[in-house]
Amino acid sequence: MENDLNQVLKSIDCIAFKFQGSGQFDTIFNDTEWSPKLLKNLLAGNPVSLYGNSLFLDDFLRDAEAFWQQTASSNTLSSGVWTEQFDNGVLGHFEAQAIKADRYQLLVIKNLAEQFDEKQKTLQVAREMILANENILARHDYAQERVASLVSESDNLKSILDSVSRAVDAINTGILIADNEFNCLMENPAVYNLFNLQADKDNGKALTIILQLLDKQYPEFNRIICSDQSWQGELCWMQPPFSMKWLMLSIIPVKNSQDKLSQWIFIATDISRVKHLQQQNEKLTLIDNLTELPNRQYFWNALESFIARGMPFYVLYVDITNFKIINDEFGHNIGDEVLFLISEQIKKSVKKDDIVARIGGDEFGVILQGVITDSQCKKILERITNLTFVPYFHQKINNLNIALKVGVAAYPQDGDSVERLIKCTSIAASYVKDAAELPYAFYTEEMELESQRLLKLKKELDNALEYNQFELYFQPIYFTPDKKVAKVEVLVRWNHPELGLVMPGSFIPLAEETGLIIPLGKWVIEHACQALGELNYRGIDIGMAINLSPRQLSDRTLGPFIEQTIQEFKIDAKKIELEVTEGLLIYNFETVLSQLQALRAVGISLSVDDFGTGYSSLSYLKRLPINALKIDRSFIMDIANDANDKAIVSAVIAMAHKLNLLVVAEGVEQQNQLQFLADNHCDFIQGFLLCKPQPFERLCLTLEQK
Amino acid sequence: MISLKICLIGGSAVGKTSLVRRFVDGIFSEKYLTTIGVKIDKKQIDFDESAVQLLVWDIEGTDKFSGFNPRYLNGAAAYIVVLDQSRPDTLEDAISLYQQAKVVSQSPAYLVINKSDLPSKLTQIQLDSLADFEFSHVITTSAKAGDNVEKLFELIAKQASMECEPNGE
Repeated sequence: MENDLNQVLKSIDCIAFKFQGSGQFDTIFNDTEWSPKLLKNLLAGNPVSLYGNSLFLDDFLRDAEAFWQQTASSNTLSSGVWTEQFDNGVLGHFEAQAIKADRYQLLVIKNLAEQFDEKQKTLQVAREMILANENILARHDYAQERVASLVSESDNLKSILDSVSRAVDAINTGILIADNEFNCLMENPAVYNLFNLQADKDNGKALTIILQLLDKQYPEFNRIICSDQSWQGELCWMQPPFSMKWLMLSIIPVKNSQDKLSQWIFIATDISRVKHLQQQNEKLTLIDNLTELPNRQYFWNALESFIARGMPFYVLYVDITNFKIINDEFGHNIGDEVLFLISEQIKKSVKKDDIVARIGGDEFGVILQGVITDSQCKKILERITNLTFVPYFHQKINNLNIALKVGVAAYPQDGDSVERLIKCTSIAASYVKDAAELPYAFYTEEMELESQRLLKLKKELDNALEYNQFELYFQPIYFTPDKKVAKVEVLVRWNHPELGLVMPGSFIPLAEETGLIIPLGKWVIEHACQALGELNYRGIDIGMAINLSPRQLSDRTLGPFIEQTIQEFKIDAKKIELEVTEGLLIYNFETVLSQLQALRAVGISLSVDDFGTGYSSLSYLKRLPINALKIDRSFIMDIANDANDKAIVSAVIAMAHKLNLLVVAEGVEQQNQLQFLADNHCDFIQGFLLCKPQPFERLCLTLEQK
Repeated sequence: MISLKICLIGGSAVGKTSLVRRFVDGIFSEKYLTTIGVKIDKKQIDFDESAVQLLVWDIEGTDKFSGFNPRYLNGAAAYIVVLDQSRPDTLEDAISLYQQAKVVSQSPAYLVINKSDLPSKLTQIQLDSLADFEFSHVITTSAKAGDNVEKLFELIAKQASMECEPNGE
């Protein structure tokens, strides 16, 4: 038996001792080639002292003796790896373990010569990869920051390119500027190096390569870029007979003073070295470092394998709402934490053999195998989208309404190639992102047609301002007690050449997305002020309420523009009321507050529109310089019959009055609604019951008749 | 002669081993070789009337592959938290490590801002924030150029040996 034990210890390259107390040990097994070097002061016989051989071991023995005295639950204390330099300069690597086994206290020292080299090699590669990655990201970010700051300071693209190229020249980062139709305008010399091109012969070729790679490797790219957002990802470029190259690519939209897209800037950095280091460690190649989930490359391969098997499955494209705000407002560390928690949530919601991968910055891909019906899939989607960690996370982040939006496609009915399936999930994800109440959606052909229609509409919308296709409508708002007109709300309509009069609900979200809202918003303000000036001229003294989108408030030129416009049309600032939605209150409160305070200082009134549908925070309301609340029409609709709506509306009116705020009820369409509001002392009413929105000339007639 | 255990902790690749090599052997290598586990080196420092032997524990960098083992700080006369001024994130790692170390060790902590031969990417706000922590000293070093390395260990040796001097007559 003892012989067998010795054989085992020898085969695993260990020596073992039994602790006898007071620093003394009995040798169990000490027959290795290396132990005389490690324990060079060990005397013959039993018991022996192990102290005085190794500084590290002495330290561990003190801890081990304390450990053996304890009645702790753990049976083993490990020293961790240590390196010992022998007299001949050779290094040895060891790990000691203090073990409690029945009545015995054992010390086992293991020689790690072989494992150490393996571990060293793996960690060397992993850490070099992290360093290389940090370095690349730092210079890529630097180029991006420089571009962003120069773009905001200068309209001269050539000077931007020269300046940034000079700054990043030494680090070989390619920068390319294209117009809004992706035609190359200029590129720096590093671009030619990256793509093995010749400066004098291959102008514009790099962009063609990049666009082809994007089309093939990121089928969702078109959808992302259509919303004029910046994008970052990795591209794999192969050019026979050259070897494969990996590029990190950032694409940044540049907007002109009208906030319309004018150019795209491409920044490309060679990350082949990082990829090469990753490939030395198979695990790192296909794993996302942050979440430790499979990465996009793995996901792509997995999808190909699933398609090759021919069995039905579902693919999910999971997007996080408001994630950019988290990163911008709370920093990347919190952002990373949120990503990690979400990845855990998704993993927990699916079976072990399903695939969950991080396929973009804030996007996850999931392959559900063995799921063959939509109803089976829905059960899993309910689990994924129910973010259980959120209420326990960061308070401010909870207020952001983080949610998961999932686009779903089914194989084989929706597509039988990787590109097609990803495109379908991306279309469904895009659809669900715009539908506030939906957490997920299954791809349909109608969705794709709708997506194409929206794309067309977006392009047409871009020109609508130029072609003078917008028109203002005005809806009177009445004092409740005497039904006299107090003010009018300005509403914008789009006279589309084919579709006729398009309502704001159909195009304002698109204008928000494309940034057209900034020039359109200014156009509305200017024409509303002009109309108010005209009404004053006709002797009609009323106020005018103008809607302001959250994005407009981020425009620093808004305040001066309004001030200047008011002066231009010689109108009293007190007659202008700006309606903001609760949506803009959910983040960057201090910035919003200072913008609103500046507008108030000019004399303009402010009201919160659609109150009750969004954030509805009383503490924020108290701090905002507002004059009035507009109760959302959804509460007014059933006010005559629904006891809950009655309670909410009367409570909002009472609360607003306590806060010295006036209350407007919108969407009043029936006499009994009007009666309830009057009984509850609502200050103003607006709705079809009293007057529909009308063009300016008709408004003048209405007001003059009154 | 007094022997003092001094531990070096910090994120990976901040230059802990390079500081030890510079101090113990007076050499520097550009090649990065990651440390696994712990390696202890000895060096004697002579003062006018006494000498101190430093047992310098070079501990594997803390990162996603290797966590912090507080047990290594047992019996340390002082510990050094190292960061790399060219990688601003390592400051956050250093502070986090210091906070963990403080829970288990009452010994003086020295913050070393290493790689002073490279351009610093630490912001003034980050540097100012260091005042919120109770480091015995904050020293900027370069293992490559040798700047302040000797001075760092001498300072630690002097202060730690004073702490170790017997009280009484």
